[in-house]
Amino acid sequence: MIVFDKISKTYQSKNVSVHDIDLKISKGEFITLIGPSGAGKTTLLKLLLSEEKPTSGALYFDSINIHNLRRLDLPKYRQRIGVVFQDYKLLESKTVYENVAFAMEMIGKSDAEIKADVPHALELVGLENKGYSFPYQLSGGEQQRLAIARAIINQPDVLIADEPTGSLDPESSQGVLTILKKINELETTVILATHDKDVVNTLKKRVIRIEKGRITHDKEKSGYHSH
Amino acid sequence: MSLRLDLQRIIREGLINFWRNKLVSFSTVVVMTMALLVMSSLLFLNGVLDFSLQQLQDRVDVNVYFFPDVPETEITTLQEKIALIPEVRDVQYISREQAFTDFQERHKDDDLINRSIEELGDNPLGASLNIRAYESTQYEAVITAIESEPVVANSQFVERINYYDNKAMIERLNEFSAIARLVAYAVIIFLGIVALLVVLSTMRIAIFAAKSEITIKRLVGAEHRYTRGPFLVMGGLYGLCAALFSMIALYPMTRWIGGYTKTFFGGMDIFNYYLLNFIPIFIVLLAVGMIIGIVSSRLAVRKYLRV
Repeated sequence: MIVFDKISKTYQSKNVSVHDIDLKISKGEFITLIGPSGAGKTTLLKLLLSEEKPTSGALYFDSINIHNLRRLDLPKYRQRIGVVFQDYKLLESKTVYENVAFAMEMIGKSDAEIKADVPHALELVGLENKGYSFPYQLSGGEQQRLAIARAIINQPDVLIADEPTGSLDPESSQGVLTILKKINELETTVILATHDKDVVNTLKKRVIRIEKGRITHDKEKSGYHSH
Repeated sequence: MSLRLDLQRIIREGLINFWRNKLVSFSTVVVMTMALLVMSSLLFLNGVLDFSLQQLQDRVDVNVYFFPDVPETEITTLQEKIALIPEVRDVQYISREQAFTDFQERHKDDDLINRSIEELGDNPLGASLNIRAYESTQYEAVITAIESEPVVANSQFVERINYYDNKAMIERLNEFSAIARLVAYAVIIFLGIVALLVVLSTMRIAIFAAKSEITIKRLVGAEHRYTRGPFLVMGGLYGLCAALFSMIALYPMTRWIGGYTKTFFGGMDIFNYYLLNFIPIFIVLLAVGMIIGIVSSRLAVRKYLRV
């Protein structure tokens, strides 16, 4: 489904962020991406979202080189991917309800569908009573859960989660992992970038370690420290 | 997705954003109102200039003076022919008797002239035709047409055409009108561009504040119309509000200035001009405001859509 074919990304400062990445991700897989800060995890996710263009190599999504897509076609591609950004990227001028509804409006869902689905999604992440609040009125953990609700509302083909448990307590982290596992059971491919050892060890899914822009470890049903 | 639903959501979001970003909306509307007030003052200036030039042009006319013995029928036939010339606004026949009465009235206090008239015992004045064209530039063509008439060409009939006495004055007025209009248009265009740039900068600042929002929308898969559309709606709303505020502000402003312009420009009351042209002025301000608002939003948003 997703193929990174010798992908490299060098920034203008000449810093190589990722180098010669070869990676295949099948439909319905759950991938955990680990590595130290600055290893290139986020760059890899940005390349997948076409937020960044590679310096060399190609990235295929269902056999389509996504970096050859016209700017006009990019939204349709991005609508197939749900993203939980590390910095949440919430729409500050919209309420909690509107942030989730916006994602549904993008794919042309009717007002009736939006009215029916958004409360469910908010309930799933424990924000059912915060519908009228604005993001700045939420705690970090609540903002992260809102980002999750927005990412999963359209049942995307791929769910990218960049440090989704970063600012959550252990109990909330488990809740987020449960949601990610549930959505993975519905055939959604999940790519999770994390630092959290406990999360990786609990999941026991395919683990890919990136160090200095290269893949140093790729193993099925692995843990944080296994080599 | 249906176009109606799309449009409905874009307009709704534009309205909500306009309301929620009150401070940004307020400051943008204030700047735009000032720009529109500058433009409307130029519209009034143009109105005053038109009025003054028209006043001057109305005072310019051309007279064809006939010898006293020319039969009245010859003159009235010529009057009818002149009235058919397209550039001619009106032709007035002044009979010998009328000319004599006017002359007496004009010189009623001049004893020497009164005595001379009594001495003559007869009316020495001939009839004349008073001709006015629509524009002062048209007199040359009108006179050429009149001179080609056989009655006029006959030197026994026409004593004098005073166009040639007035020619220098008419030409000077034409030159002045052309220069005055040119200067007025140049000032309008210059200040219009300045106003546009000020509004564009304000809109840029307003949209810069929403830069991250545009990027986020793009990253979650929003199409151009969804990222750009609400800003265009907001731009249009800024224009609509600014046009309304300008019209409201113009009421006391023109009322106050009106008194001065009435005495200064010989009858032109700018407040009256505002009341009489209320709808056309509002349409011009609304169109200019909305176009500036929408175009500057579009230009400002374009920069942030490259995600």
